[in-house]
Amino acid sequence: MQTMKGETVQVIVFRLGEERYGVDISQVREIIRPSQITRIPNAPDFVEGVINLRGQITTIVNLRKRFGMPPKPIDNDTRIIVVEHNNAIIGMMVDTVNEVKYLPQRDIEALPSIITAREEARFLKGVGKLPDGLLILIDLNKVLNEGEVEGIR
Amino acid sequence: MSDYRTEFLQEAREYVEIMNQCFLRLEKGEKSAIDEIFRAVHTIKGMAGFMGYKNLENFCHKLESVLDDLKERDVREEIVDALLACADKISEILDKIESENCDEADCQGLIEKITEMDGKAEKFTQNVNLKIKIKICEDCQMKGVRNLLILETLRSVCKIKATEPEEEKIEEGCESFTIYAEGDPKLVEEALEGISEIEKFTVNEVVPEAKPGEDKVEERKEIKKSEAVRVDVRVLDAIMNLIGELVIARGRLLQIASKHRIQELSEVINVMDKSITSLQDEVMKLRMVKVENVFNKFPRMVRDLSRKLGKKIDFTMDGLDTELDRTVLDEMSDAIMHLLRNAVDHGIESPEERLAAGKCEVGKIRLSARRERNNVIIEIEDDGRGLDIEKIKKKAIEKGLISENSKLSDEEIKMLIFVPGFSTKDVPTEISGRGVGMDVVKTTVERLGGSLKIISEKGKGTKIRIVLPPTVAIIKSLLVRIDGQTYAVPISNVIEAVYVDSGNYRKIHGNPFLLVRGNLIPAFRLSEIFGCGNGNENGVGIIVEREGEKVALVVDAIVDQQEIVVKPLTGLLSKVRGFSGVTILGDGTVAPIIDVASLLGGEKFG
Repeated sequence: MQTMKGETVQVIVFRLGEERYGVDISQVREIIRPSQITRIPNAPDFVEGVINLRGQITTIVNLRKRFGMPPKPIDNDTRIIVVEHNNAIIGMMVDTVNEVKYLPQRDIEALPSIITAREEARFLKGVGKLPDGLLILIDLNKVLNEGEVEGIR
Repeated sequence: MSDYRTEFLQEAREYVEIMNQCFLRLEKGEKSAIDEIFRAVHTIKGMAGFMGYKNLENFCHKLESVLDDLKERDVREEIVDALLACADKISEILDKIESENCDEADCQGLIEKITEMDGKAEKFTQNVNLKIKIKICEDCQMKGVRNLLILETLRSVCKIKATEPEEEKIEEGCESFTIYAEGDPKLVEEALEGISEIEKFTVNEVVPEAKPGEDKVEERKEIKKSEAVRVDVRVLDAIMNLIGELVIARGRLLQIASKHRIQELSEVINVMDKSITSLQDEVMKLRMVKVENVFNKFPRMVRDLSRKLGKKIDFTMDGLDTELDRTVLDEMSDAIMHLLRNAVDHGIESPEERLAAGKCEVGKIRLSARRERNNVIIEIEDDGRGLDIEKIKKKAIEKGLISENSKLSDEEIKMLIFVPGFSTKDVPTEISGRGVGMDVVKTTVERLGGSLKIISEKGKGTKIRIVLPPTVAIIKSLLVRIDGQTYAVPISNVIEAVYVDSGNYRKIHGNPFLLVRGNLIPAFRLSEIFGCGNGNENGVGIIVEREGEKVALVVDAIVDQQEIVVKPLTGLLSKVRGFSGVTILGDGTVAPIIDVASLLGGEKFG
């Protein structure tokens, strides 16, 4: 990892409530506005439903629910970040998408254990320090992993 | 050369498969099967020679000569065993060629074994003491008839063992031929002298070395070959998906046309519609394959197994030309194999036991497939010991699958054998009895949208009936509306639909029922099950069948009936109960497909 210190990652910055989050841009396929979402009864509660993304059935995960935050109705700012994970196409519904930022590796720090020990912080990978404040990096593996899903239920 | 290798392997494997089937026919006494085996071995030999696989070529050559002698003899089980072992050896060599591109394999033991059999055969050919060469006159009018006459005459004085060329050819009227026979040379000479139109003949007494020619098979080459192009199933799946996309796009175009009232566009769409529909039909047909393709490997398996277990079994198959979707069939293959193993291992008793029970020593197992209405039915039936309800019940209590005082119907107890971890055989054998498998059979069938039923009587036998939809990719379905969202219900599940009003919707002890023509059918309000409010009082009750029972699903309204393309739910949603997948409707929205079996339970046995 030492050699990586000098490199920069590009992250997409999005918002959930007052917090800013970031996801590595290399994992993101596109960002779309929510279209008609079909609810799937009996699905895990953080799964909002499925949409038809140009013929591809895409599961939509509500990140607010996933992180244990109170839900918020879909509005004009709501966006879906479409990621490819383990060969599946998944959309993450977030309050709004702000910008793309460059984040040098040396400005990324692991979360203090007092935070990661908490239940809702399991999906977080680290904290990015930007001139205009902090950015929480999420761990897609944990957010979208089925095994983790079982753990929650 | 390596380009040819895959083709060579594929073709050679097909011939090995043919050999396997023919050996079994041979065992049942069908002598004609030998010719087919001979052709198969010969072709493999030829191909191996061309490809430079000397070892395989030699092996096939040896096998050929044994086969040749077999034509004259009774085929005993040991011989078929040895021959089947040879077929296995060939596929082993083929595997090795595929992985290492070398055909080195230890076939010395087998070669010895078959040459030994060959030796026995030679003792037989020693009986041939006469080599009769005959040439008939060139101007003979009806050569075939003449030849026939000669053969008949010879038969009255000696025993004809072989001819060159073979008898059919002689009877067609060739001018010169050779006959190998056993008999008194003098008598033969006398007999031949009495026949006119023979130009010349020689009768020689021979020492046994000459055998009828080896290349006589070469002329006949009408092997059953399918006139088909090989296509990877994945390609078909891709085409199917694309057609699905087309269907969806067509729906959207239709909406645009009607929204903007463009007459010309509507017309074009209508034309396109027809093409897409027939394209879809054609691809569906492509995906259908005969069950024969998978069933063919079973006779060999049953035979090997029954010999290993010392059981006598007469295995028959019916309805081999029934067609089933490729993917369904592939998935079912293992399940059927498992059920057959069970029938051989647990179902059929040992010969002694059968005789003691007053049954025929030979057990019967029948595998059949047939089309019934919209479904394909596969049945595995044996006349063995049947299921012992009491024993199953005891075992289930022992294993803690059911409680001591649970009241289950006989039907439900029988279904317990499909519960994971259940096995009544006290000592697991190598073949079955570890309690894995039967539950896999059930889940496989259910995943494919089928159902399963056991009909069994103690001491009489067991029949397992599997009902499958012929295809899984595109299904006819009813589109229904529940709380503003559209859902699809596969039509194969639906029996009828009735309007629901206060007149026929009753609650008995808090449980809702639907009264249909005097029958009470348990009703389920889907809006409640899906947790989306109560919906309105009225609606439509869709009567579906689930494990032989009728249940009513109450929905708000029926929207449409159409063919839908099934898209499976994956990832986070793969474990969701109650839905077999989703589909994309004409307007581009997604509709979940209701899976009746998993929606309303299957909870019964935990």
